[in-house]
Amino acid sequence: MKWVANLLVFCTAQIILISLQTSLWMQVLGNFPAPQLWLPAFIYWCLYRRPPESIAMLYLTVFMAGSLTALPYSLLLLILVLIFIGVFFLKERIYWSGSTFYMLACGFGILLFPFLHFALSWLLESNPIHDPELFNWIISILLTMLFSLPLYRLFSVIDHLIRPVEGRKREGIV
Amino acid sequence: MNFFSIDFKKAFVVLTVVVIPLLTVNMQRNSESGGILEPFRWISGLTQMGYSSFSSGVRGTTAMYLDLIDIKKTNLNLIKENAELRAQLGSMTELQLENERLNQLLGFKQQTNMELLAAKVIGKDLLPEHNTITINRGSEHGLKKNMAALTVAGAVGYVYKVQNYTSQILLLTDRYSAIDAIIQRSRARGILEGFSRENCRMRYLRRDDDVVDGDMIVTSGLDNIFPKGFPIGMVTSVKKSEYGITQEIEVQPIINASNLEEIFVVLNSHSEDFSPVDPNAQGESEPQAAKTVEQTL
Repeated sequence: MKWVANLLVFCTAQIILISLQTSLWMQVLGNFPAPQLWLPAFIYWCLYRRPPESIAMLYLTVFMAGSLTALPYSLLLLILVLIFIGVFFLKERIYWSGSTFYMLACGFGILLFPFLHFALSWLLESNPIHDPELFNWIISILLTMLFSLPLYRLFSVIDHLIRPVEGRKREGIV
Repeated sequence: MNFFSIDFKKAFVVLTVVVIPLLTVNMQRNSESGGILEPFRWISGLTQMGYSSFSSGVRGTTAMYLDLIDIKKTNLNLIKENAELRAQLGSMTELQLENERLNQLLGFKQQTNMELLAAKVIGKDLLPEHNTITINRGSEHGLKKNMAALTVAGAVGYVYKVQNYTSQILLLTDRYSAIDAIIQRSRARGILEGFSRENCRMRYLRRDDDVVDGDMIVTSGLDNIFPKGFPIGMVTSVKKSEYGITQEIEVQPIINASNLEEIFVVLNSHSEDFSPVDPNAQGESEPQAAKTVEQTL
């Protein structure tokens, strides 16, 4: 029961963060590049959940984020699967508990995204990306890493309040 | 007691009381001529001046201090008032600009035969590589997939995802966007695709089609999405490959999508045609839609 509640709270947080990025950010800061606020929750689940749980969150993220972009679901799914594999390997090779590793993983994930998008676009699309939004992505990566710290605190609090203790013990959170 | 007997002591007192003031009056009358009282008067004057200066100084300093306190208070009040007025002014300016924009939209809506629905831009795409916007109108308001989105000055894009109360518009500059378009002057026809954040390109134009820099690109109306002859953009470059049978042209859209705030969705175009009567005469002039609005305003 707690697992479902935890998943629902994370999904709600994800929707709020996506809306904040696509709507509120634009209304307050106009065209200034926005942080990719939808990625940290996904990365959090990649790092601190078992792979099946992470994959569940991966699909949910695709459905939630995919509804607010012109990027096809299939391509978004492919990119996120590759990011999941990348973060999984990063976790396997180097891992230390705490927020700094989470920030590093977020930075890694968000850095992978535009490269994978660009590469897959050229591989699979008839009208691929011609002008990569480099400036946008650089600002976006920095802002996402900056925002990932308070988000880590928020996610930790959510986990502390509504997550089965055995799960937290397994991930070394308790 | 004898009537004529005089008490000299009393008489002296009476005389002193009566005579001394008389003498004083007399002395004052003669003071203009100076005399013995002049030094006293000078010293008194000086003393008075000193007191006056001192008193004036004290009063001045006290007043200045009190004024400063008052000025400080007034200044704080004025700063606060100024900030409030600035905020009000900003709000008024924003309202005025919004009013102007809405007036323009309303004028356009009244002028045209098309059935239009005004919508407000409430969001943009999740990823910087894609150019879409979210509007506050959905299927509950009669929106359907592939309806055209435009502003007074030109075409914006078309509806590609519809929810109950919101919809996403695929802008002309998005890579996934493709609409049927023609060169206004020569009537050469091609497909306009999104290319980058600021540019589109027109493909499948025949090599011998007459296109030059600065030509106006308008909607063909053949895709049943846009009304015919609605402005899209201007040709910025023409590329003809050495052996190809087609040519590619770059187009700068008239609408800067990053500044969009309100748009129209075409619910029914009623076969509205914005094409000029003589396309050759209209070729290098301003868009018909813009003219229509100008006439309205």
